[in-house]
Amino acid sequence: MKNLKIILLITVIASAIAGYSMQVFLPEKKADERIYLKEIAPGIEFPEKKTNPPHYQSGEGITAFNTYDVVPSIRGYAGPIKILLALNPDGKIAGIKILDHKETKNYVHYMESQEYLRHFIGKSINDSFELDKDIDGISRATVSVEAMAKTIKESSRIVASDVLKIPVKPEEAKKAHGTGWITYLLLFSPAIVFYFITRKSKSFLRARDLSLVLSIPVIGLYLSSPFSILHVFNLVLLRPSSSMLWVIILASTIISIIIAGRFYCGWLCPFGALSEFIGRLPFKKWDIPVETDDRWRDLKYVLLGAAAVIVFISRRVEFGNYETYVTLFSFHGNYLAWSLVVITLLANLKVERFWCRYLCPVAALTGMLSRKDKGYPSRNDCPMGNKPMPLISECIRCNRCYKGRG
Amino acid sequence: MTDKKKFKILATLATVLTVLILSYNVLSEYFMPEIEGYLERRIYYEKVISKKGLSMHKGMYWKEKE
Repeated sequence: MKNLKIILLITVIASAIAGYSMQVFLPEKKADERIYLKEIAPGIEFPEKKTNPPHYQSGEGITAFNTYDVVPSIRGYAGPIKILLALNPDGKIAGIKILDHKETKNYVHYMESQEYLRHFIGKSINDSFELDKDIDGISRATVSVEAMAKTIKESSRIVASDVLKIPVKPEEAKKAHGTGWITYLLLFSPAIVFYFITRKSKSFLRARDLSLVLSIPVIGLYLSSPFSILHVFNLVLLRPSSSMLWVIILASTIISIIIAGRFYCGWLCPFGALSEFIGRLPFKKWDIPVETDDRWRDLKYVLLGAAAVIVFISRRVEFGNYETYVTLFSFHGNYLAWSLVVITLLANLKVERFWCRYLCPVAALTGMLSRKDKGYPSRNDCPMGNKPMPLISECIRCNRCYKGRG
Repeated sequence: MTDKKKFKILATLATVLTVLILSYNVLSEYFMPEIEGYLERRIYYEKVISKKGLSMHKGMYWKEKE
C-alpha cells in the first residue's frame, strides 16, 4: 500500500513536470480567430488586427475582438472564458463565439450552444447583462455564466468606448459574489462542530444523518458543487476560480482534511449520502473476504493517479472527469457516465458505500492526506464496511466507533 | 455463485466503465472529430462523387469548387 502511494506520487510528479515542459516547449495551439470571424460576421471582410485594444474593424464599421485580449483577468470556475465578439457601429452585439474555456463540460454544455449564445445578439453595451434579468441564467452553471456575462459586458464597453467612441453608462455598485458560499458555510460549520461534539458524546450521532440528508438538496442539487478532484486539478494547474464558492469549498475541505481526515466524505458528500442511505435499505450484504476488499480498495488510488497523469500531461482538467457526483448533480453526462452512476448507486444495496470504497478519487486523495488517529477501531455497523482497526485512509469519521485517543 | 465472485464481477464492470469514461474524454476530443469528418466525407463520396467516376481526393476538390 505504501509502495503504491509512493509510485503514484512519483508518477504524478513526473507527469506534472512533463505537462509543464510541454507547455513551455510546445505552446497550446490558439484558436484561429480569422476562421471564426467568418462565422460571427458572415460576408464581412476584416483587414489586419489593430491595437489598443486589439481588434478587427471592417469597412462596414463592424468591430470584432477576442475578449481575452481586453479583459484577461475575468475568470470563470476554472479560468478565463475566451470569446470572439462582433459589435455593430451602434454598440450592439452582432456576433458571438466561445473560442476557449476550461470550465467543466458537464455544467456548461448549454452555455456553449448557439441556442443560448443567440440571447446575446442585439444586446447593447449599456445593457446590465444581469443573470435572470436580461440574460437567462443556467442552473448548475451560475459561476460560469456570470463570468461569461461579465466578460462580454466589460470587454464590449471598453471596445465601444475606446474604438467606437460610444459613451458608456457608469456601472452601478453591485455585490461582488453570490450567496452560494454562505449557504455552503451554513452547512459546513454546524457539521464540523457536531463532528467534534460526537467525538465527546455519542448522543448527537444523528446530527451526521441530518448533515448528510441536507447535503443532497443543498450541496448536490441547489449549489451543484460537490467537492471534486477537478477543484484540486485546477488548483495545481494554477487556474483558480474567481468564485467565492469555489474558494470556500476548496479551503474548507483542505482544512477539514488537516483536522479531521475524510470528514467531508462522512458528513458532507451528497453522493456519499445517497450511497449510505441506499446501503441502509434492508438487503443482505455480500460477504467479501478482507483480502479481496483490501486489494480492490487500492483501485481508487490507481484511478486517481491515472486521471492526474492524463490531466497534467494534457493540461485539460475535463479529461480527468469520471466522478459520478459531477454527472449526477450536473444532470449531464454521456451514457457511459450515467451507467457508472446507476451501477455505483445500485451496488450499495449489496456493498456499503461501493463508490467511496473502491473508485472515488476524492476518497483516495483525502484518505492519503488523513493524519493518523488510533481512536477509530471500527465496528460491525461501520458505514464503510471497514474491518477492525482499519487504515485511517478508509475511515470517514462517522464517530460511531470513536474511542478517544487514549 | 459466491458473493466474492459476484463482487469481483461488479467491481470489474465499474472499473471498465471508469476506464472507458477516461478514454472517451481524451479520444472524443482528439480523434472523434477526425473520424466523424472522415466518415462524413466518405459517405458523401460514396453517395455522390463516386458516381461521377472521380477519386475521393479529386472529388473533394471538385466539391469545394462547386
